[in-house]
Amino acid sequence: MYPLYYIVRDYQNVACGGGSGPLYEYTNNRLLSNGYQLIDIDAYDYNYPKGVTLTTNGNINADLVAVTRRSYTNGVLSDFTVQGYLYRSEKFDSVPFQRASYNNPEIGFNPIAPDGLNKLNFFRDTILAFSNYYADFPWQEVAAISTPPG
Amino acid sequence: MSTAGYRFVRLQNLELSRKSADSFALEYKTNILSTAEKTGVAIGREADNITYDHPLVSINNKGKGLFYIREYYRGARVSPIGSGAELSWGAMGKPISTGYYNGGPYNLEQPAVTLDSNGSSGFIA
Repeated sequence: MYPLYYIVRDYQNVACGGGSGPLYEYTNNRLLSNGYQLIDIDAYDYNYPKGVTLTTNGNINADLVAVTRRSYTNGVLSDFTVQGYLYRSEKFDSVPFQRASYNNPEIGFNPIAPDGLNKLNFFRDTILAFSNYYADFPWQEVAAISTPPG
Repeated sequence: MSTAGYRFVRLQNLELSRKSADSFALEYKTNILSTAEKTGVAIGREADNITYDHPLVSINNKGKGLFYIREYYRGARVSPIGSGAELSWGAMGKPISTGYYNGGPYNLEQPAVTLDSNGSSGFIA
């Protein structure tokens, strides 16, 4: 099982009226995202998005996504750079566990990481630069796992 | 990637490795003077009337990598990848053919490489 997106909701308290009239209060249950995971926003443009799953011998894999992007700041358009974004990806060895341990029918899968899930460093950085023209990039994954230090 | 007229090829090496019993980290392996080269390393550049396309890397499961690229009107150039993003055979590698076969031009369009599991041999076509 592989979650490709996450539902995001919140509750918004709203009040209106008042003064000499009645005060009405209610709560909005807002759906903020019903689809794709937001990785980056507000660049001038994005080109050649690619992703690869880097495998480990732990209980997670790592999803590395990269895209060629330009920024637009104070009226100045930047050169192209390739940005990389890293995400932890839990290995699901038991789909029934993920479902049975969380009974919310709207989500249907436990979004709370179980105890003991391996950690992954935060990585959101430039991996190639710079270019003044649309720069594509290939990449190749190799499954080479190092042993724990010490 | 291109800057100021000529196009460059840049190579980046990232490695995901275990850092402790319960953690992993993705790190730059393209380090010069112990500083991460976040822009990658230029491994070749075009020149007047010498153009390239389709830069690719093939890596086997031992971590040995081979860089290869199409050189227009000649053929493919290849090089093993050393530590970090260093090409063992120099910038843009070495050509594997003259671009001529049986007395006529042979314009290889898209080289493709496969390596054996040890990375000690392979094929390019």
